[in-house]
Order: sequence, then structure tokens, then C-alpha cells
Amino acid sequence: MIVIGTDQLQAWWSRHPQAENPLRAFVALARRCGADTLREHFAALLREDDTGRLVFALPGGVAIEARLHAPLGILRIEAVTVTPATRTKG
Amino acid sequence: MTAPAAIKPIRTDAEHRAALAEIETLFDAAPGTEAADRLEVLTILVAAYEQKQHPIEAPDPVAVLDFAMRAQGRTQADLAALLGSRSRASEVLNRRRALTRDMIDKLATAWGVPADLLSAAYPVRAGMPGALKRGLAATAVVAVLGTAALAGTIGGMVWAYGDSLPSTAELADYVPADMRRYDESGRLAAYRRFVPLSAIPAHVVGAFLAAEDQDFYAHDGYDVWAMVRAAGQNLMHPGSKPAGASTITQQLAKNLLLPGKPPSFERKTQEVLLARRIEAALSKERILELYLNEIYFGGRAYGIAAAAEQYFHKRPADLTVAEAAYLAALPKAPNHYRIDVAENRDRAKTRRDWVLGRMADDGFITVSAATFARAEPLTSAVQRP
Repeated sequence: MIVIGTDQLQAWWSRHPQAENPLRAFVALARRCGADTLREHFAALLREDDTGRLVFALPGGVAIEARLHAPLGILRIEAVTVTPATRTKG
Repeated sequence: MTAPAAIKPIRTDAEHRAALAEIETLFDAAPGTEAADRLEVLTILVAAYEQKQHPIEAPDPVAVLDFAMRAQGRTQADLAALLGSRSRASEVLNRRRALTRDMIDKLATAWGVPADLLSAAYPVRAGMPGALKRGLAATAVVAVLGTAALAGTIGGMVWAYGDSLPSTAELADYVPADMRRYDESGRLAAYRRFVPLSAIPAHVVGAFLAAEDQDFYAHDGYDVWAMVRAAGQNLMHPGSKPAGASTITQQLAKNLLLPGKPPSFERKTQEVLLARRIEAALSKERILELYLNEIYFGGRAYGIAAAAEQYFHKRPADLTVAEAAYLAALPKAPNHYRIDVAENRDRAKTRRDWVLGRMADDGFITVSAATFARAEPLTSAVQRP
């Protein structure tokens, strides 16, 4: 899968170093996922809102909001945010 | 409506931002349309620019594995089930053991973790105090003590036994003394030469971990389930030699702090209590170092250096895999497996080969290395009739 919007990640982990490995691992694994297997591989971290936006609550207190274009295999990272406490337990 | 910009490589942040903005407008494009084609090309260009400007490399294999497990909702117990051993899972996640090709294949096949992300070289620590199963150990202690309470008086006995135990504090700076003891006729009767853990090869240490305590890095000094299993075996076979289920730490406690004390419930209880104190006071490496230098190997050999010298005329650093496996076979019953006694040799080889199998199972050596080592004859540099 093609992952774009990754330019935000370095800036994030430079301020939140504990998130570096999770963010790197997220990108590495997402790039190697198919659109059809993405939900399976991130099942424990992923929720999907009503608009189809995917929210990955990663270890290290960071959440990634993204959109998936499944037929073209594109994952577009829209935002990197602090994980709300309620999501980190998921 | 303005015509779409020409497709060209992205060279600046401004072009990158513009491309992302256009991607947003195109993102719901239906496959097979011109908009989808443009979206796909723009995405490739953006990805190429980001990879060049802000490359995101994968973290090391353990970080990938840890993340993949969390992402899939898997636990260390799941990893243990996949890799076939709790100690293996613990050591991999704590960077005390490198992922082997076999492990990587299992993770890729069963969990879909890409093999290339798990194959990169990464440093493996010599070891550090394992605290991974502290919660489980605490639960086990509660279970043990609860059972004792149900039995009536055992809790009080534990308290009484613990109250009179020797101190473990001095072990922090303790170095087993080099020793040469002679019998009345002037022959060497006991010999020890201290060797630091750093001078003992990994395959030698691995042999002892495989033979004596596979969960060494995961437990807090004792393995309650192993003790329960041993107790069950002893109940099932009352006439046979009792199974001990002592961890390396318990063996160290017994040798160093309870020498000469005959087997009993009291000694077992004291071993457990002392083992916990030792684990709290010393690192795992220090415990291993003391253990390898203290234990008795039969004949006149105390400690790994004396044993390597006695049986093979070698230093520990020069021991082969087969020789290491043999020495690791000895602590269970030193004089039963000494190969300088002819009648012991067949059963000693059987025990050595068993250790080699465990070493392969635990990933300390490859299966083929174990096969080659099994083919080696078991001979001692010193032969007695």
C-alpha cells in the first residue's frame, strides 16, 4: 500500500520521542499491508468513524487519523494527534 | 474550471502541499476514471517526495514485533505458543535473544509480520534482570501461600523457615574463591578457578539454560508450575528419585547459602525464599556467573573452568557445542554422568544428546548444529576405568 502524509511524523516524534518507534513501525507495516488486510493487521488499534475516517491509536500516546482508498491501495495520513485516554486502552 | 496541472515530479514543499490539496479533492474518485488515474499518479509522486525529504525507516525487528503484536491484540503468551517456549518469547521481546530464521518464518506465516522487517540485524543484550513475569510470580506466590493457608500450618512454617535464613546481601560483591584442596595423600581433591561470565561463550551459557532452567530470564527465582509438576511426578512415582524442579537461582541458593542441608520441605521452602531474595539483589548475569562458578561437576571440579579443565583440558572459551552440552548435563547428577568413569559413558551421551536437542529447541544452536554435535563421540581427556 502507498502511505502518504508521512511528512508530519518526524515532526511529531521529535517532540514526542516515545512515539518514534510506534510511528516508524506503523508506516513500515502499513506499506506492506494490502488494503484488504489493513483492518486485520491493526485490529486492536483501529476504529473507524461515521465518515469512514480511520483512527489508529498507537502505543506512545499518538493517534493517526487517515483515509483509505482501498481500490487504489492508498492510505492518506490526515493528522497526527495525542491519543485520547479513552482510546489508548483499545 | 481550471485544467489540472501537468504531472511532474514534486521538488518543493509548496508543490507537495499543492499535490496533497489536489489529492484531497480526488480522494473519492471511482476506480477506472481519469480522476482515479490522476489520484494514483499524484500519490506516487507525493510518496516519492516524502520518502526523499522525510524518510521513515522501519525500527529494529523487536520494535516491529512488539508493535505488530499490539496492533493485532496479541500477548506474550501468544508469542510463547507460536515460538514454542515462554523463555524464548521473553528473551526475544527483551532483546536477550536474536530472532532466528525459523522464528521469523513462523511470525510471517502465522501472523503476517513481514519477514524483511524482522530480518535486520540488531543488538542483543547480554541480559538484564527479567521482570516480565513479576505479576505472574506474585500471583503464584499468592497461590502458593493460599494453598499453604488452606493446609493449615504451612504458612507459619514458611515464616519460621524464612526467619532463620542467611543474608543474601554479601552476594553482591562475592567472588567464588579459587581453590585447590588436597587429600591426605597429597592428591588434588577439589579445584575451582573463577572465570567471569564475559569469558564464557554464549553457547556454553545456553547449554546450561537449556538443560537446567529454560525460563531463567522470565522467572523471579522459582517456577511454581515446575514445582507443582515435580510434586505431581513425585506423587505418581513415589519410589523413584524425587524430581526437584529447582531453577538456577534456587540451585545457587542451595549451594551457596544452604550447603550440606539434606533435602526436605524446609530446605525447599528456604530455597524459594532465598531465590527470591537473590533475584531482588543481583542481576540475572551475576546469578549466572555465580552459578556457573559454584556448581559441582563431579570428580574434583567445582565451577565451569575446573570442569572444562578436568574433562577436556580446555578453557571454557574453547569448549565445543558438544562439550558444552555435556558439561551442562552434569549438574543434575555429577557422579552419575562423569565420563571419566567408563560405566557412565552411554547414559552420559544420552543425556548430552538430550541437552543438544533442548539447545536447538530454544534457539541457542541450529538443528543442524545439534545433529553434527550428536555425531561427535563423547570422550574425556581424563579416562578412568
